[in-house]
Amino acid sequence: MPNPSPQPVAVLRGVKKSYVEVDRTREVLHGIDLELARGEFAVLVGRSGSGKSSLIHVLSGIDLPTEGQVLLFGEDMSRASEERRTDVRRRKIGLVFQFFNLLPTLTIEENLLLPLELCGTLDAAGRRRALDLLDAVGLADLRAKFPDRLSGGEQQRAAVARALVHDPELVLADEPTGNLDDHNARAVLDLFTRLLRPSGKTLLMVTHSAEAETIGDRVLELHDGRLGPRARSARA
Amino acid sequence: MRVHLACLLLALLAACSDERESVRASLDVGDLLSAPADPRFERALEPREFSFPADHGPHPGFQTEWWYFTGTLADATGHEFGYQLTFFRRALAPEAPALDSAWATKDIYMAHFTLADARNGTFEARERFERGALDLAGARATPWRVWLRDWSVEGDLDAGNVRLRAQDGDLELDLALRSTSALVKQGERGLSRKGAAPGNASYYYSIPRMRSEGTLALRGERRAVSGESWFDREWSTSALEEGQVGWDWFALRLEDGSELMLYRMRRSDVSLDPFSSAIFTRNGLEPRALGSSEFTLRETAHWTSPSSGASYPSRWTIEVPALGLACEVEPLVADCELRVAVRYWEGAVRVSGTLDARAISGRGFVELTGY
Amino acid sequence: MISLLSRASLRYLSRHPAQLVLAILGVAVGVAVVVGIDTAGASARRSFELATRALSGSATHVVRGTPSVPEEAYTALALESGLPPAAPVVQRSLALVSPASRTLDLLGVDPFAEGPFRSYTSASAGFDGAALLRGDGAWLSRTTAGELGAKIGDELIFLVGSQRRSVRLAGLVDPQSELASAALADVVLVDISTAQSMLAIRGQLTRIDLALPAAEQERSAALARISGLLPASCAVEPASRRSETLAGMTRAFDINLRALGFLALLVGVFLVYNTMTFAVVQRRPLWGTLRSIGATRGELFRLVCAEALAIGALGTVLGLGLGMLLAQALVRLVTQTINDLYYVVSVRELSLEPEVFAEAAALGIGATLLGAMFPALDAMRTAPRAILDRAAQESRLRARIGWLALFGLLAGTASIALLQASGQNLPLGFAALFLMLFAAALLVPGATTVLCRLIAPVAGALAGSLGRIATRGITSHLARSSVAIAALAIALSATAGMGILVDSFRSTVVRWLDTTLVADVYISSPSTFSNRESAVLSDELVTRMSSDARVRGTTTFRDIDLELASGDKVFATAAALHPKSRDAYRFLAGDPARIWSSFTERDTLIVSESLARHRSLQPGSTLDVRTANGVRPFEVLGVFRDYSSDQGWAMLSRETWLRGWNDPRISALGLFLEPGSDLGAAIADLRASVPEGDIVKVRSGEELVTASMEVFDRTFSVTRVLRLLAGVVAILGVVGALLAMELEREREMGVLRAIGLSPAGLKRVVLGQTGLLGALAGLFAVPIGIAVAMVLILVINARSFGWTLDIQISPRVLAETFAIALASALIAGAYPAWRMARLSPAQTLRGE
Repeated sequence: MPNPSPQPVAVLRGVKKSYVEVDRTREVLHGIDLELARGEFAVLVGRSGSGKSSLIHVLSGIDLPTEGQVLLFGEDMSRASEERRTDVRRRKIGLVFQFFNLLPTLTIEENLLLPLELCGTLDAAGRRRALDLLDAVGLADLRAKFPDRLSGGEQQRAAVARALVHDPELVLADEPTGNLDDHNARAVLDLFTRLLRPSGKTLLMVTHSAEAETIGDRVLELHDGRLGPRARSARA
Repeated sequence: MRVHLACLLLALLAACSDERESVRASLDVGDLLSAPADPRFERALEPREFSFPADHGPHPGFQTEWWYFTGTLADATGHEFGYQLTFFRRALAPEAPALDSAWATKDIYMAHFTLADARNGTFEARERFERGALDLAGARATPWRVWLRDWSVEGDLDAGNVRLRAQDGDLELDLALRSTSALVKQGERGLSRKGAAPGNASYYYSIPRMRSEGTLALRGERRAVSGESWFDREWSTSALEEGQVGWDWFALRLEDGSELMLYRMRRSDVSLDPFSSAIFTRNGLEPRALGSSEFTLRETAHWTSPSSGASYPSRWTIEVPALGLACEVEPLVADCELRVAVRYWEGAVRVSGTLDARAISGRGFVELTGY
Repeated sequence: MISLLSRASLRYLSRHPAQLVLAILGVAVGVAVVVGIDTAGASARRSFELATRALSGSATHVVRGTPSVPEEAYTALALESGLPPAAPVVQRSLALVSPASRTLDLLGVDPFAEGPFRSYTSASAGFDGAALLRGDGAWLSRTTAGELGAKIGDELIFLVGSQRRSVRLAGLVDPQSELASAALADVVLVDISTAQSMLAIRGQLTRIDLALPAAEQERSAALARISGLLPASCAVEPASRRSETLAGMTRAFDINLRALGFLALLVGVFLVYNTMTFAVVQRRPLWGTLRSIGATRGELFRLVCAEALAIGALGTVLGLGLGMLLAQALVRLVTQTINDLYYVVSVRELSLEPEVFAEAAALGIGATLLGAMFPALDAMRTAPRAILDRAAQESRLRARIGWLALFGLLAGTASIALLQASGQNLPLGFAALFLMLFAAALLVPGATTVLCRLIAPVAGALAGSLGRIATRGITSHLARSSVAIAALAIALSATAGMGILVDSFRSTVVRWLDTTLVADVYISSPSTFSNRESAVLSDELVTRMSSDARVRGTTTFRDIDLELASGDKVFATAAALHPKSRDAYRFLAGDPARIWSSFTERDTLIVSESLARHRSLQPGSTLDVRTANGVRPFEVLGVFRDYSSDQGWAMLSRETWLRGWNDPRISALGLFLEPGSDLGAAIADLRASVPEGDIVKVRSGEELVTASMEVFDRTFSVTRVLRLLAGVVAILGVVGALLAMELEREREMGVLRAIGLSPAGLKRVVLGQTGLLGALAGLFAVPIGIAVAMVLILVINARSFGWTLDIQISPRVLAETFAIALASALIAGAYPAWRMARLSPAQTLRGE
């Protein structure tokens, strides 16, 4: 068990999120309370449409909650400006998507350097770190390739590397293995453990995969927009 | 008695086109006809001594004048024709506008040329307008000539010789005329009153009988013809008086060598205008003037123009008890309506009746206006 | 199935209203430009035809004479029996100075001869023949009088030569037919006597109208009789001859106008193709999904076509309306040019030509279908899985770049070959020009790829990954970007080419005017080209001006029309040239010494470059000219440089003119002052000594240059407007293209935002990319523009006007072109940049 730290990395208090549709408002999160402690690996499961992605978006500051409070590193994101949220995100958060979302017009290496460039830390050390990471995810040889030349597993490994390259405190992964075969899924999960655990980073991973659950310190379930502990029955 | 016809000239000028409606419209403008003439024009106030040949020529000081030839002709087979060739001059102003152009003029000329075919019952009428400038149209005393482009009358009136020429499309007339009667001064020694106002009168003389010979072409058929013509000559500065709507004019040549000229002014109230009159001539004798009470004129038949809808009298009985004359007058061709710029009826007629208890016949011309 | 299919497709469009609006607007603007230009041109042409036809009425033939028809010729015809109707006419364009300034056609007629000819001179039209003979009466159509603000009884003051002449408005004519209405637009009707007196041409007629019988035999018999009655200086020609001659004058202008319209059409097709391609391409995922669930290719293809048809039809209808509005504005510019340079024409209403509408509909609907069809075919041919993969499409295009470039080179070569092989043929010259533009468009994808590869490292160095994203975005979306770049580059190169042409033309003319106008002071009547025949100076004025103590020498000019034996007319000037003026003539052919020694002696003349080209003249050629003494051969001594008339003109010596025509009047006077004279004071004194009643312009050579350039600039206002329009079309096109392109990358931008790019940073990326795209288009537009300019100057101008121009490629035009490209692309990028920066990345990523 990691040492509980005085200040949680992220805190959600009574977070509600609703989307305005054509003629009605649909609430997807019905008041979420969540604390992520430093160094914690949390796994979030839930049915499709249960609001998992919305939770990730709210947590990352990509989206604002309709109600409630989002504290990231002690800062109230729900009150911060778009610029401020972007700034926190670019420096302290790493995002991994189900569909990899590498920038097609940048090479793998360039994709990795992009977050550093955005943080303004694209120096020799940063480049080295990017290379090390590529090496670590086993893509050093492919670094000059464009994403569309890579297999899905390779792309997701690159995406993981991109999410980690700027040394974020919190990594948010939205079904990172959802599009991968077992072998590649395992490799990606392995990467998280290998690269995040030693430096005490925090991970929140949304997943459907039973195997993925195994790397979590705790497993939460989002059920109809409400967060609860993992229900045995939902596990199949 | 054609003064008013010439008065219409002004209105006609508005209609130098073949658009019939426009002509009708302009004729409705009665104001134009009764408008007082410019006071700078000379007027026929009292009888004057005619001076020939000068008076055969133009009288530019007067507003209006004309030279009027009508007649009946026949070819060798007795095929009868009536013809009319008339030239009008009308001054628009006493003086020509001050322009540096030979086209500038004060005078407008109008001419009518008609041929009626008695056997076929057809009638052809043509009209022309021209300005009295550039020799396009004009009149002069010596040598005497009146013309509108290629239509002309010329010769020596005093000697009684006239050459008459007109051609338009398939209509052609070329006649040599020779007087067989003396010149007759109409009205009071040539002063013919048309209304009550002083100056509403004209200087007027006629040559009632002129032996006519020449050629006539109609619808491509050319033939030698001979017959008799009547010449009228009048100038004035005159206007229509209130209430006068039209007139009937008769020029009859009887075969015994006598002539009757008769006109009747028609008033809007159907009364007989007191300025209606007649004159009876017999070669070598003094002309006899007849007042409106000395003759009767009765219409005994009517003809309605199919194209204009106007109804004209088409047979008359004329009686002059003082002369012992009673006759029937009947057109050679019923439809002699001139459907030119101004609409009127003018055609050859035959006369039959009794004079001094003797049967008599003759030929003549009738003009009917205002119908 | 189909209805659901349609619904799926239509809902997509209705959720992207901007796309739909742009597609319809794109079609509409393309159609509008074509309709506008064609309608304006056609209206001017039609008005002119109507006016000429109506002014000559039902005349089949006319008698013309050198220098005019003596009125005795008419009298001779009128007095003759059995001839067909004839009507004398005096006609001249005159400058009306009061109550308004305008050039009117003075039509002097004889009401007694008019009947068979012109219906509007009849009483039913309100025309009173008797009043016409009253001396100073004049008639206007009610419309024209209204426009001039003239009421019955008002004085109309005209300028005849340098003198004021007035008539009084005696009546208004209400034309009863379109023809008569056109005929009477800007016509002042007077009696022939009034006309002669006003113009001081006693005894002279402009022409005699004849209505000859239709039957060939009768017609030739009548012609023979008439010809026999006419003096030697007169000849009978068909009535249509003159309008044909005048129409011929503007043929080159007309073709150029149509070519500009065609250019706009070309850009319009690009634009329509562009927008439709996007509308289809954007829905690839939708097509892919539909194919996946079993829609057949045919069904999808029909769906796309039906949709394109609807968009095309909507756009066409809208475009026709816009085009009419545009035509209203353009027609004024077009008629202004025609009036400045050729003849008086007044357009009362737009003439709606069915061909123009057909052309517009074909463009609007055809190009839309075509634009939709290729991408649709492309999408339908692909397997469902591959449709979803945009990258596959891009890689196919990349594979084709080489082929496109090869075709481009082939088309370019063909264009050059066509330019060389087409001789003096103007339409073929234009065809080659368009082929060249087409070739350039084909080369754009390749050039873009190469340039982006070169730029990418630079952009990377300057702006890091974002720079790279911006640069590579262009090549990776080449299918979209190259069409946008090509459209923008072609449109801008065409406008740049026109700009260079106008610049070259202008600088050539300025230089030419500077060397030609050597006299210190010029005195001329304030006439326009169309009434120059009547622009003569009064004798008193000439005497006074040339006898000023400071005047050391003079040059005199007399503007005339030379009638050739063939019946054609050639503009000419009879000049008595001061030695300094002589030295100003630059001969392209002929030996100046020999030219000037024979110039005054025999029947000789010199011709301008344009005339030489039009009539294939060179030193030693002869022109058979109808003089007052009959037809005489005139020897061409030389060809001089001149830019004053695209028809070209001839110059003969005053001595020659007097010998042949015996007309001593002059139209303009150039004065050379004693050295050291105060020019300003001299001009002031000369102006003060203008006789009472004379109106003349007394100007220094410099002022004359300025005035000439004003006319020049006005002439090119149409070109300027069209350049602007082509620019607008291009910008609209690029807005549509970029909007679609950027919207397609929404997700990518969402990722960028998710990994920490700020909204401002995102704007920079989007604008950087569109800016780069614009810069590329601008870059391509420069060389293409220069090539277009070369073709315009060396081929099109030379073939249509016959002028040698000094090519002047001003950096300003090139910079302007580049700036417009960049600016339009930035404007185009503004909306997507704003939209995407505002968009929550969560929304774009929600598909997860």
